[in-house]
Amino acid sequence: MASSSIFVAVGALLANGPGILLLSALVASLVLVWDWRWALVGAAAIMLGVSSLAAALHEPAPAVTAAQWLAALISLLLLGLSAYIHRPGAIAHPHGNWLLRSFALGFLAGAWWMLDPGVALPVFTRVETDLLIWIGLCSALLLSLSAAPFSSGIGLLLLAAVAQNIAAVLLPGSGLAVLVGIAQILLALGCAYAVLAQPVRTSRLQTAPARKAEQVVEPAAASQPRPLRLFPGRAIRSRTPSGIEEAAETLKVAASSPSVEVSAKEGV
Amino acid sequence: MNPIEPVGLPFLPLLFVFFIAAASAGFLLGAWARLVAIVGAGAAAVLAVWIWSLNMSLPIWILPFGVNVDLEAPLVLSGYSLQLRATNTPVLAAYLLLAALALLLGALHTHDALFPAQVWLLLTGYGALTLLVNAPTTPIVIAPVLFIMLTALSIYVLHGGRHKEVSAGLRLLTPPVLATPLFLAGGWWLEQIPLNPQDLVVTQTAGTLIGLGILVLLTPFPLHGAWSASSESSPPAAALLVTLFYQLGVLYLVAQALHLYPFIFRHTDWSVWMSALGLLTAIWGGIAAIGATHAGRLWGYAAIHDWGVIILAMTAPGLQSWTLVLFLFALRIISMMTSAIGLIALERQVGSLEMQRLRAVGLRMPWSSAAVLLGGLGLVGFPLTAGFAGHWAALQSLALFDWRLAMAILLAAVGAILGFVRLARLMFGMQDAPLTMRESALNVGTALGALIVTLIVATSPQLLSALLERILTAFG
Repeated sequence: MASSSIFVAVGALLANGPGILLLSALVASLVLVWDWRWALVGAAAIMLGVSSLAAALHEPAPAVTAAQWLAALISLLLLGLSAYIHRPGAIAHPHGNWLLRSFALGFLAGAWWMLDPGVALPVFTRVETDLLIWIGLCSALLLSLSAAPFSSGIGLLLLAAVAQNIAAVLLPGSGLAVLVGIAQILLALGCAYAVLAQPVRTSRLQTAPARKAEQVVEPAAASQPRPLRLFPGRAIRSRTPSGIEEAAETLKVAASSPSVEVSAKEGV
Repeated sequence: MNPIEPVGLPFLPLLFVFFIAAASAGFLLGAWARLVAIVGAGAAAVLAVWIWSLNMSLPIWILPFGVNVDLEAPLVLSGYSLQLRATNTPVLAAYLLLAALALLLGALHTHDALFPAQVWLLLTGYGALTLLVNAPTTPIVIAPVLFIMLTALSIYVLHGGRHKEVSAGLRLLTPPVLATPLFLAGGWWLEQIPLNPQDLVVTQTAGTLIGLGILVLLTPFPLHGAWSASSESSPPAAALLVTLFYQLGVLYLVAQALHLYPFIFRHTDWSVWMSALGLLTAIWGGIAAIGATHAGRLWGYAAIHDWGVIILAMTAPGLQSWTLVLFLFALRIISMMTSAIGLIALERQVGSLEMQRLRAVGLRMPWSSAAVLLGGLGLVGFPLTAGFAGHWAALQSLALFDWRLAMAILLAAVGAILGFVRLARLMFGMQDAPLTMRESALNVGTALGALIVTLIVATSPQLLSALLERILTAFG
């Protein structure tokens, strides 16, 4: 069948050492490069890649793999649209910078390699099992490093993709893979709603120096796009202000300083 | 299956059409949310009583105008079969009753115009989960996937249209998503058992995977965080509904799993692990309640303590008793409901449930404040509250097994009680500036009603025996 041959062809490209390594590195990069656009593209590649890999190695019904692709694309589209519409819901600081995240990843990989609990899924090969477990671990890391709805959504979707893959291969006649796909779309809808409902939180790093306190603005009020940052843990370097802005800022600081008030009173 | 050949209208499609129509009506008539909630509560309560009183040995319901309704006719969709049986009828009735209570709470304070529609949608989902009797694979394996869907729907309920973060709802999704792969892999091993009935490795592996999945779904410590967070950030009616619906569903799933596959506990050590985590949950709930600065979170921690005791009663070797579990859960419903009534009234009047803002509120709103305190104390088994009898019975049984465990739970309960004492001191303490708020007659009436129910159950818990005996048929 033409449709099944597409899935199998994509899967065959990945069903080797470099292919598996590529998928594993892609999962790890989602944790390291904390960027919503990269997360979307990476998650799509991982979800489609893993289902194609299963299609090439275990040959489930083409309709099942098609359902997996469809669920992955729809759910990521929903999440991506919500992030595009309401950027503050997607851009959120992780708990730690890139160094901490890479340490966490290294610790996770090292611990898994050292302990080696010998988890083996039936029917799956050892390499496939390790890939699925690695995806699960990185998703758990995504969930634990930030409470932001977008990254939680990506983490949950990747975990659900693991479950969907297991359903497609281990319980092929049950229709459970399709059911997990529906659950994935509902999950993505919920996460997209959470992204849109996320209040805009402007910290002192992101606002003018005069506004010290943290403020919460209603979602509808503002959705200011912020510049893309590869490593958000690093402090934001403010752009060079224009001449007029600089003069206005100087006046604002001068007006609020106590020495100016005192001198004004003395003048009166 | 009904042996008599088709006999008029099948009941289940009618029931689900009614649920979906009610949800649609709730959505379309959002402008009259209070009226919709009251009518919906009435309909759900009547349906609950009717389904509860159904005699399933007579599955044909003959209507006066000559139309028959087949109560046992299954509803089959793509190989997934839903059917009303004598074993699942009480659970469906319990879900309807909980929905009626939640709708009543929603009517008391309309926090979200879509709340009635969301209640009916959740009821449809949990109803389907309860009635699922047959599928291409065992229904127990499918349950976690349904839990993902229903928890995803709960995100909207928990948000309640507030301008707040929804992270609590998202955190609630983690346990079912984590449990699903375990159930699916366990499902494969379950399918291998008939092929190798003598092979103990197969049953042990299946039991290990399903047991671990159940453990995750039970959300013990340290997976409990979403419950306390949602109690703080969500409207009390929404938190109550989502918590009780989910936990009733999980209890029913565990009962089915242990009934069908007793080796989950017999061939594995999960009962020990679950009881240890149940104990930790109860202890953590009590300890965390001491430092709570939000009345909603305090309520959440007390509920976590209570849930820990329920897990312990369900799984501890030598203590496992479904009668005790259901007794504790019934008392939990009463206590949580009483607290929620008070919290809704306080939040409406004060605008927040931060403890500092509740200073001296008890002097102006004594009945609602009393409902918060009595309901909350009921969750930790304080004497003269609804939860006392259940907690006392659990502690006695546990003390026979190991007195140190009972003592640890008692000390944790003291911690939660201290949290409520602090809240009571704030609520009934004097304030310099006089408060202007007033307790409305409706709030007084509902709080008084809840307090009377609480006191009746506290003094005569044997009134629940008949209900428990009936619902035990679904769990035993």
